[in-house]
Formats: sequence, C-alpha cells, structure tokens
Amino acid sequence: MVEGLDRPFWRALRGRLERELSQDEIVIRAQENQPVVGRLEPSSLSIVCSVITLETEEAMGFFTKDIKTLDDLFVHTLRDIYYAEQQIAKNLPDMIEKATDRSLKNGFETHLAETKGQIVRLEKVFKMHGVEAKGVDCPAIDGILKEASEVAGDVDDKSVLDAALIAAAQAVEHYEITRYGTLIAWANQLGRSDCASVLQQNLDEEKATDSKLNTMALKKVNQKAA
Amino acid sequence: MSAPSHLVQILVPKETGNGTPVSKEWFDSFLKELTEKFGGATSFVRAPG
Repeated sequence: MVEGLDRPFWRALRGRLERELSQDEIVIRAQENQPVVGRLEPSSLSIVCSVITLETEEAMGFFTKDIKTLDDLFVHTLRDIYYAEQQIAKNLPDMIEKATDRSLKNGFETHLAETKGQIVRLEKVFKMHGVEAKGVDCPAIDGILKEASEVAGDVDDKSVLDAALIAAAQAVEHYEITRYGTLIAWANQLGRSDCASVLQQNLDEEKATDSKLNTMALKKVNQKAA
Repeated sequence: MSAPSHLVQILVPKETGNGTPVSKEWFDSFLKELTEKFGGATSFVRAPG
C-alpha cells in the first residue's frame, strides 16, 4: 500500500509506460484502504503496489490498439520491412563468407550493396510520408534468418552448403517480395503513388535477385550438390 | 493523523502496442524499480478480482 497518493508521480509513470510499451493508454488505479479494526501504525503500513498482467483476449481489449487505419497499417508494415532489411544487411556478410561458389559469393555481395540502397529508399519513403523512420520487431524475418543459420551450421559439404544458402536467400527474397507487394498496393490505395514508385524499385530488385538465385541453383549449384 | 493508505494497481499489457511481447526482463526490471521505491510490489498474472 502506498501512503497518500502522489498524483504527479503516478501520472508521470503512466506517461512513461505508455511510451515504453507503445500504448495509447495504460490503466493505473488506486483505492483507499480502510482498516477493518483498529488503527494501523505507520510502521505496519507495508507499501505494496500490485502489478497485474492480463492474460485473456478480453482483458487485452482494455488497451487501445495502435493500428486503427490502413494508413497506420501501412506505416507499421513499412517499419516491419525496414527492420527486416536491416537484419538482412547484418546477416549477408556471414552468408558471403560461407558461400563457396564464386558467382554465389558475388551475387550475395551485390545484394548486400542493394540492400543498403533499399534501406536508404525506405528512409526516403518514411520522410515522404511524414513519419519517423524506425523499425518494429519482425519475428518472421528473425525466424527465417535463424533457421538459415541453423541449417547452414548443420551442413558439412561445401556444395550442399551453397544449395542451402541459396534456398535460405530465396526464402528471404520471397518474404520481402510479399511485403513490398502489399506496401505498394496500400500506398496506391492511400493515394501515395509517389511512395509506391520508390517501393517498386525495391520490389524490382528483390525479384531480380530471386530470379538470379533461381538460375544459379538450377543451372549449377544444385547439380554440384547432388 | 497520517494520510490514508492506498492500494495501487498498474495494469500492464502482455504485448506492446506494436504487438511485441512485453519481455520478462522489462517486467522484472519494472517490478524491481517499484519494489525499491515502495519497499514491496506484488504481481498477478491474472486480475485478482
């Protein structure tokens, strides 16, 4: 229990939690305690705050969701792919190092440079749309990259490893292709064809990379691995 | 006469507004902060009623 109620403190705490947890509203409630018998001595007033996490979907309804409109969803997805591109840029050097086939290595190196350019384009789209450029966690790309790393760690033969790296890279490309396709459709729907045309450049690069990887796998790498 | 005591409840969501789960580390650190400030804090994973 807390003695007295320092309202400015609780107001500030609520504001901080709303920012840290990206919530429109955090509920903090207080009720005055009346001793049932006698009078509590100050020393016996143990100060207790109860913190409640809510488990049910119904309970989650107490909290306002951040995504209310298609525009919010567009910005959220833009932040999702922004995070994803950053994770890909972090992981590509490892893939370049692991690749044995010269053309595959070169392909990954080219794509790393492209990925850095795509991040810059995304920052341009954020700016055009008047929102802050920041990422949101994307468990999907984290999962794809984690699995790629685990599988690569289990492959001993270098030719088979190249085939595994192509498969992983294509999984990444396909994820990006679906995200960019959606973002372009939403941008056009929202009347932001200017944003859509910048995003289209990223989509075109992802599709071209996927196609190159496909050709590499079918014409050479898979045969060497077999 | 001392000021009346209050039971304060903070309803912490399981996920942030971005859909990211609130991490155990964040929660533990928040609980520690309250414990240090008020001398004690109790957490419930479901509302006690």
